Amino acid sequence: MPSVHSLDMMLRIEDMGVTYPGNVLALRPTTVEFHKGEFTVLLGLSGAGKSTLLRSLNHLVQPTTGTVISAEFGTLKTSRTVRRHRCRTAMVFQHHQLIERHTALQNVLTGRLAYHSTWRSLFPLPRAELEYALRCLERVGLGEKALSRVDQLSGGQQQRVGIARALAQQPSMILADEPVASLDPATSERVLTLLRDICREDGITAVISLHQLEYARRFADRIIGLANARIVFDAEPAKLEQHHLDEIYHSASVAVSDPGKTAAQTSHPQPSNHPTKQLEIAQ
Amino acid sequence: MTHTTTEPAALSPAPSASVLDEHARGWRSKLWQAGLVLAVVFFASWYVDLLDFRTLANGVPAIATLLRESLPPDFTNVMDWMSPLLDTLAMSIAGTAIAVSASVPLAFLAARNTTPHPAVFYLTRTLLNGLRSVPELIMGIIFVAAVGFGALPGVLALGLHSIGMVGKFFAEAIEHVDEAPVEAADASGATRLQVLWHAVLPQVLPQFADVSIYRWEYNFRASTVMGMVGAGGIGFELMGSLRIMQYQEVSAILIVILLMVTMVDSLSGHLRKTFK
Repeated sequence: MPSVHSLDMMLRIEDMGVTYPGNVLALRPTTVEFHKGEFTVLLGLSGAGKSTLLRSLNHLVQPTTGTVISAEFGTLKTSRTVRRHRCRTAMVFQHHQLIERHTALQNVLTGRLAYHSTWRSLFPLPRAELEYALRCLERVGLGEKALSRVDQLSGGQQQRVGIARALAQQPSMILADEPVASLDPATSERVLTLLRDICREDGITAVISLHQLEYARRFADRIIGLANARIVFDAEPAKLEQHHLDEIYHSASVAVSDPGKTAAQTSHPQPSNHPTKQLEIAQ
Repeated sequence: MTHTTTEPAALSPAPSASVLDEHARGWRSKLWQAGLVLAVVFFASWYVDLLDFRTLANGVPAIATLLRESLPPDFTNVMDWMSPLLDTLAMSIAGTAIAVSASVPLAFLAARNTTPHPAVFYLTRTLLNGLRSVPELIMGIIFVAAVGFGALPGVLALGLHSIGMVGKFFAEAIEHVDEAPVEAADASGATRLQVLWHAVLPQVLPQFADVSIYRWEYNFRASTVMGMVGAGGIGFELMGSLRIMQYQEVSAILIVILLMVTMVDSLSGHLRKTFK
């Protein structure tokens, strides 16, 4: 176990950097700690490195350098530790990533897989598991849709099934990768409120990537701003000032003059009107 | 794109002419290609004597005689064909069952995204190609030699040969799976096998069902021929009547087979629609 960490540390990354094939620098070596019960928002433009940071927290993206240390399971080294860590660290995706032709209940049940041996999970899970999955669906307000096929639900409902699946894992931590990026504003608010309320009630640590400043300010306990593959801001929302925003949202233009190749300029070109729109909201 | 002029349509004659030239060139090259295909077809037909019209014409009376001798169809023994027909039906179902149950595990090894190792991938793909390239009739002959006459060698031959195609199609279905739910299952800490069973298999089941039912339909048609090499079923009766030149009976059996094939086809079409 590593040197210094505070008492309520949940997860810590140490000098963790990610370079994708083709020498695309997605995240510079970064050290950061996530604390118990904290609702952290990763804020930044597409390609700033927030997805990479988020996905490396459960090794869905393999860090090129450095380590991820879980308070519960220690350094993520063996595939066994990674699996146990993933079991307690649920994930919510931008495009929900559900099995479309399965019912909501069947999808939520996949969140229970890691609690069973491979052999046991070849057969239908016990009734208690079904009841738990159904309770998770009721919690996100979709108890009545349990037997509906997911492709018959609306976008917001699908994302709520995604949250129910995450809850079914009885997680100590939830990672959400742009959970509202494909939803309309009203639905986005409902989904984020639901996510925050559940995390508060259950004391779940949350790390959520968003590109909307307004939501970050409203929901976050802590904002981590990313630009050009590194953290440029890390504090509570009240401390976020205009020059921080300039750095976070104008990174695309800065990146052009940056000789180090970053993901911002290579993989995800951002429409130029986008940051401006976000800034108007801020002012 | 960024270059804009105030004049709305500055059409110069030169570029449009070159476009039309290009168009004409494209047309000429298509004509060339069509001519080439036609020449190949013509040569092949000549090579196999298809263009030898005198021989063809000489054959017409023989076929006419054969047709005359097969009419009217003789259905007196129709009840004796029921049991061989049932054999054929059972052979096609059992053969398909063998093929499907062997193909599911093989397909996971032969799909790029689920194979445990590239070497395993190439090995299983080669095995599937091998099974596909040995005709079921040849397999039938081998199995008749191995286990004797009857339905069993037919079932084994149909099953083994079918693995080649069913396994390949299953593997292709697995390769086209939506990776998003697979990643989600991975992220929940599921083991590799749990991911395959709970995130990949549910997605490919409709295609698996579709391929299996289509293959059953094919196997029914194929199993009518299997009898010719002594591998049981209605084909065995057909061969018997052919050997003793009972052409009226032959035509009756062919009509019965046609009826059964039509029934199986429509049933399979119906089943495949419900699995969509």
